[in-house]
Amino acid sequence: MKVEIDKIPLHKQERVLIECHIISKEVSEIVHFVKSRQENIEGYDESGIHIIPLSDIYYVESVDNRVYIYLKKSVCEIKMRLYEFEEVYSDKEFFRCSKDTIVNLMKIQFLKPALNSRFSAVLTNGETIIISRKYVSDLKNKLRGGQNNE
Amino acid sequence: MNRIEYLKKTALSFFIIVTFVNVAMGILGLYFEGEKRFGYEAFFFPLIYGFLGVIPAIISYSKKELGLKQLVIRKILQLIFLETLLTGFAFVNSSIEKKVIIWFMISVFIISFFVHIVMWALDSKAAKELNLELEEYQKSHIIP
Repeated sequence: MKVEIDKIPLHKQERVLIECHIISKEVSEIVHFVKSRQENIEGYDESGIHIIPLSDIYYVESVDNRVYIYLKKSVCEIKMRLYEFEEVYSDKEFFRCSKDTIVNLMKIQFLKPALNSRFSAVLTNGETIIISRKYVSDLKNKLRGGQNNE
Repeated sequence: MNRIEYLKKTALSFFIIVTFVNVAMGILGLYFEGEKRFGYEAFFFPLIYGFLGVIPAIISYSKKELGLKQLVIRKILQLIFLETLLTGFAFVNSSIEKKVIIWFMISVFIISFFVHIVMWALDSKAAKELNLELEEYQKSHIIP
């Protein structure tokens, strides 16, 4: 597939145009990727407000009534409750893996068993988070194409 | 853990314990009382020990997610209860003599350890299957 990039003046709206014969799996993936990059969330830290693509989030955690998003090497606070984040982005690749954590399934490198029938998820940035027993069946459903039960 | 999950896990533990109790009874029996002969009632002993062996699991049961420290404390209490219960039963039932008691308790500990190993192996298998499904999921959703 030939790739062309045209630089346009600032007053014109940016867009991605795909010209194809059929909408193949690859084309759908490109569309999905572009769409995922467009969905952003506002994160706050000491240096100010940041616009963060959803796909850059590794996991979201609620600590003392505050909700933080964890990126590859940094952390930002968001003005949203954890359950709100879960509701808004339940159709994305996010999965509630414990009472206070939502993980981006695309950032999980692998899963391994942990104590007491729980699982650990090793993320691509090297961090490890726990998947509670209660959510394991929901994880299976989500991976098989269903939504979370809770 | 909900009740159904708990019951499934307990049933699984029961059968694993019964298997290992059979092996332990065979080894201890051959070593200490190789000449002794039993009636058909001996077939029920592994089942009884298996049943008694799963009772202490109640200590580790919690609807809430236990922290690592809580879990370790409960597992230690579970083991103490298990040793007391099984040794007490064996004494009351006169199925062991004093000289064998330490070996009996070591056997209980080893069986308990092996039960955890088998459960871990089953969880590893489940993790392996989940990893395959995760891989498929990630392939079907582009990785940025």
